[in-house]
Amino acid sequence: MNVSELSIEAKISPHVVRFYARTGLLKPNRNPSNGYKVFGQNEVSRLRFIRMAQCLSYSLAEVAEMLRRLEDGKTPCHLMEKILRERLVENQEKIELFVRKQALMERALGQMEKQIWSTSSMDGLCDHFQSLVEGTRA
Amino acid sequence: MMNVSEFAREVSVTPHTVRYYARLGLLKPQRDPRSRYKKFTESDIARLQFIIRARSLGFTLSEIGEIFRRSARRQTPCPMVREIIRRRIEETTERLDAVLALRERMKQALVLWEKMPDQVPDGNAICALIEAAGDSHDGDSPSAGHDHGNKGGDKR
Repeated sequence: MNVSELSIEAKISPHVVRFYARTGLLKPNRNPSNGYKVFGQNEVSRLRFIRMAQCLSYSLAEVAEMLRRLEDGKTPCHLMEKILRERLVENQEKIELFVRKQALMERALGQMEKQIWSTSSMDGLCDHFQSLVEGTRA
Repeated sequence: MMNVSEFAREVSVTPHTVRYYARLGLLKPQRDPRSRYKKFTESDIARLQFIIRARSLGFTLSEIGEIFRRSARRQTPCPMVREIIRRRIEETTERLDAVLALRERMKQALVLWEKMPDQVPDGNAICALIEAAGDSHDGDSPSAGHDHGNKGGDKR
């Protein structure tokens, strides 16, 4: 397969295929007559591996390391699993952060929306702005 | 009147942050006529506290600058602030959905991998491993792993 055939087969842009080849993640052969890249079944599998690993949040550097291990005849499974478990912890922290942020913003928005109806109670964020405006005027 | 380091201590930020915000025009200290040093007052404290609070709500520094400009023109910034918060809530919801989906994929991969015996390290075995994870969420965009992550300044 050439670059465009592989990109159609794998449903990714030819730029990405070339990028992977340039960075050594894919190792196409060269067509001796025209020097074009030629990808065999092995490269198709490698590409599938790369895309799936990315989908599971592995970085390209990590993917490169796994592929190196494979080439050396070692199994990357333990490394992959170790990284994935670390990622899961980071992922959980991110989830908690987003949930906290969301609650904070919704509370602020709620406070501000209430103030449309109430002129007497002047607390919350909008009021904070108001006092700030007074402060800048002074 | 406070100098940069006194002011920074008062609001519990670094002097570096204070100088940075002053350079961006978010803080407008006066100048000591003799030494030309920056001098901060109580109203700068309120401004900085506001900046910190707005940052924690996900406002960017340029949005905060815009809020200040409107206030200076005596326009109420409230509708703009509400709009920004609404937008941030939507964005956070999207990012939250993305990390939740990623967690599902990662968990599925771990479950599948545990079921598999350690295999002779050949390329096909590894691909089987990865493909097993892949089959469990067919139709997912393989580029999804690209999209979350870097935007929010996460390290990779």
